[in-house]
Amino acid sequence: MEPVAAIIRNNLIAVSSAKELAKVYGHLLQKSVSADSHSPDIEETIQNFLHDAVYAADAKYFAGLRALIKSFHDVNRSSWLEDFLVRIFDPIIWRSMKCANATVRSQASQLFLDVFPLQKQSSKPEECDAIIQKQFDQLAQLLKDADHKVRAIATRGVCTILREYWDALPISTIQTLLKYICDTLAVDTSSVVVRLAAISGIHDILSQPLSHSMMKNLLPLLSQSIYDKSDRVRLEFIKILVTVKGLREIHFYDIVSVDTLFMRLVHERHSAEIVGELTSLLFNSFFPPSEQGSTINKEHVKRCLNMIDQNLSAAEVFYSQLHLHLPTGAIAKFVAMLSNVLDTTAEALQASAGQLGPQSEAGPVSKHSKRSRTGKAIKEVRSSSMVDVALYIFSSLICADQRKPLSI
Amino acid sequence: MGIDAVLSTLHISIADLEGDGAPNLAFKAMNPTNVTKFFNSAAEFLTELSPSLTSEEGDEESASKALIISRLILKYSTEISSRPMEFIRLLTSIGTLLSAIDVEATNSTQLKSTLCQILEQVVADKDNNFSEYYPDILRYLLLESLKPTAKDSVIKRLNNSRLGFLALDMHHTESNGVRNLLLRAFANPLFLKTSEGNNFLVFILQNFAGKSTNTPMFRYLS
Repeated sequence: MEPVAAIIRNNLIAVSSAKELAKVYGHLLQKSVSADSHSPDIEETIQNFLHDAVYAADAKYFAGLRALIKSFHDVNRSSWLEDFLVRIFDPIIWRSMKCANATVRSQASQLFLDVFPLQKQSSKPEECDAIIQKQFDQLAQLLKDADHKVRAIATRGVCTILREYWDALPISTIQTLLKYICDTLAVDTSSVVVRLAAISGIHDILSQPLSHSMMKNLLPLLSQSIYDKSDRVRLEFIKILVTVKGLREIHFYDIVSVDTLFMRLVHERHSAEIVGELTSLLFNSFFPPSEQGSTINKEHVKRCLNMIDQNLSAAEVFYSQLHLHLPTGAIAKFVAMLSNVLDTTAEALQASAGQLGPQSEAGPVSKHSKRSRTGKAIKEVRSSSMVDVALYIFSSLICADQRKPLSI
Repeated sequence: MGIDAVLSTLHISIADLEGDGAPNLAFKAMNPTNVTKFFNSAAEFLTELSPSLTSEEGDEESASKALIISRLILKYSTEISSRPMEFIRLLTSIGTLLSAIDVEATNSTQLKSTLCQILEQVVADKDNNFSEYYPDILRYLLLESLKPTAKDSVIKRLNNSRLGFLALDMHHTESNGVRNLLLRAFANPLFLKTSEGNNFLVFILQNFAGKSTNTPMFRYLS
């Protein structure tokens, strides 16, 4: 077996697409070991590959060996294969995860997270429980590792495990792990990679429907991530909100208030990707799908005016993204409706100016005329804002053809 | 003995054998009375041609003639499963010729492939002493499959004959070449890419690289 193993090693080091090749070798080795043709020599070779992977100095070689070893646990695991994996991993993996070298710890933890759970089918229930508990403890320890790379790998791995095995894990273990990820790792100021791993891990968990009731209470803990100094973290967090928008149990505005989202829209105006996600998040709130079948209706204009009232700058950014979500015809209709409102407001202004003129010259201002003036001022502000918004929509339509960012 | 003399045993001439349907036509001419004569003369013909076929320069004309005869034999072996003793004797000359030809010219390559196919057919039918032909078949197919120009079909043929490896005496120093070729197969892209190649490698791993350290070939692979 050793010459064959040497050929595999040399090829994984020499070939540029080591991962693909490793999958083929892994597949060959996996098919050649089975319960009825048990081969201690192949078992020893695979254990040597695992040892090599843990202590690999070259990242490409590690990736290749990882793919090779993955071939054994990505298949349907029979009870024989479960025992086989325990025999292979047990002597190496535990001590490697406690090694002083951070690279060794990170590589060992990646392999451990890939193979999780290690179960001994042939042993007694108490022994099985002990092995599983040992693994839970190890997961918790990895999340608290001193090295940020290990913490990031562990966070991503733990989230994947939670997503995959949610219904099989004890609820107390899930709560402990998730609480630590949301409370500590998502706000890990020492490393962006860890924060990103935590946020994207939580995003990953949301694809598990059983997690939603617990996530409803935990997601508000992440609300500060919208102010994270890293673009990638903020973007990933907004992606969580977009995912939450599609869930019944959780409301995104319970995690981050709409006012905050408006403010972020203004602050992120130069980051196309984040603005795009924020617009997607808010789109249905300002363009609710109409029941009558028409794409644009008065309700949309009304909500537009509300947004202008709430935060003009946010409205400018939001409506400048309209071309990404609506067909040109619908936008034209929307702009036409806005201009109708403008015309009506202008006429009303003119009419009120005609009524107010002689009175103001004649004598003291009455309560009624005071209110009219205030109303007039509001209308003026609003109509000028509407002109701004309409202009943004027009210009964004023009820019949409050339796919240029809108210069405001 | 010339090719005309061999073909005359079937009452056909070389002119009859031009075109794609030639082996079919010749097969129709074969009957129990003339076929034994044909095999005897074919064995004699191939033995006589052997020195020119195996010479370093490689006689392309001789290879072409041998190819015509070997195609007729292949046609017979694929169609008829109960073969006369003359045919079995002929196989010895075919095996010797297959291992001796070391020329890479077009006709010689085709001739080797056809000779090997005759032996493969005999092995597939489990004819008398069929295991004797395994070393020649396996050595030829392994060498062919490891060439850069090898095609999937060669791997498929090798995989179909894989049980032959169990019949080989891997203790013998003569098997060193086969063992090295087997190891090279583990780094060959065609073996790694095709499902037939994968199955072949799994077979080798299962039978020669594991189970027990007493397995004869294990000592050589490990």
